[in-house]
Amino acid sequence: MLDAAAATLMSPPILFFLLGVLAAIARSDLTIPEPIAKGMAIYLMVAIGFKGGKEVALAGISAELMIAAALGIALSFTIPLIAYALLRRLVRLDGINAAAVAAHYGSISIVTFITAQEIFIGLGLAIPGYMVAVMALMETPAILTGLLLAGRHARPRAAGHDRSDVWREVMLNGSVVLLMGAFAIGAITGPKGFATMAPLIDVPFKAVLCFFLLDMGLVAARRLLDANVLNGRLVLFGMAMPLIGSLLGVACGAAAGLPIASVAALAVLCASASYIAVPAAIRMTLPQANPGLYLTLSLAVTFPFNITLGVPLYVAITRAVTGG
Amino acid sequence: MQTFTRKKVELLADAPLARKLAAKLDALGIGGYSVFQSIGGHGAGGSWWHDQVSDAGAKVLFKIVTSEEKAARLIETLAPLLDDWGLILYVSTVDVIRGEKY
Repeated sequence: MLDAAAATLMSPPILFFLLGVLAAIARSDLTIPEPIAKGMAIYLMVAIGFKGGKEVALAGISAELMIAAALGIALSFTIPLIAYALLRRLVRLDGINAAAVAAHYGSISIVTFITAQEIFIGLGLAIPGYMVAVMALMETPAILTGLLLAGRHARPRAAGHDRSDVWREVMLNGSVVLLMGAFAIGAITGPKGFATMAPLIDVPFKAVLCFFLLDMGLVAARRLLDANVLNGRLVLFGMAMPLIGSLLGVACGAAAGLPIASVAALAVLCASASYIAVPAAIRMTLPQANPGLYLTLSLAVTFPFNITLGVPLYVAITRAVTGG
Repeated sequence: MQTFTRKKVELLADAPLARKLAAKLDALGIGGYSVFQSIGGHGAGGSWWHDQVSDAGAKVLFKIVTSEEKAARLIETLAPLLDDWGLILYVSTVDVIRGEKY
């Protein structure tokens, strides 16, 4: 397993991430302009969605897909409950912030999934295309759970006629639309459509991921250096919760009899925390929560942990549990 | 040249809340405002710079010029939200030329 971790750390995506981290720590003025970072995020979402859709077009809609999707949605709804309990009892966080942070951990990080996919290839695993759809489905249920949890402490912004508005905003947020849309188009146009898109969304994919991770490293490290909201317990939570999530994912996936790559992918999804879609949604719906807290945790603690140590660990756990 | 006195209200808000604020302005019948991007800054909550991967931390500035009564109603509407929404609000008096526009 140490071999796997070493191999992961030596891959271009992770090395670029580390470059960003080191540059930030060294107080370099290197910055990637924000519109470019956003453009790269859009590119990565369209590319991964399209590829996933194309693979489902080839493989067909299987029972596996339905099972994984159902599991994913259920996990996205329930993981925030565990996170919330931990945050309240062990970290002693107040109700609103606990609910806000919990929503992040039930949701997923697209970039973590994409990075994991690259890492998996190095470890001899190929994630089935339908897991992209599972990923998209897992993005929003956690937000709803977070809002329900927060409702016990204060009225979230969704009151009265506002409510349907909030649900619409949350369910139709940009990354879900992009991911599902690209997935649908990939599924409809299949390998033929993919062939026409491939020069843009297949060939440069890994390099764009590297540039994006460079930016992520810069941003994550800067945020961590700047942060005055984290204490030891929160940082521990930021590393322990992904592990707990992954164990749940492995347990459910293995019990459902999914193939090993899907189980491992599900583990990664359960371990990841959103830092693009959910923070924006939570800022809108739970403005009383502190964005410095949830953004820093998921971006500067959990994300780096996941892509360096987490993913190889989750693969090892999956292999140990499934005997694969 | 005759000028008219109006109130300028400036609001610094988190980008994800910008649409909600615009809706509140529309609901109050305030038709004249512009929204600008903030590059960075510092406040009680920490500092931010325009190099984030997500919009969640970005700030925008609303510049609103309107009549005194509408400005008063706006302040009344937003006062209870200042803490929760993390808003910075200040008002100044300005002179405009085309009084009927504001």
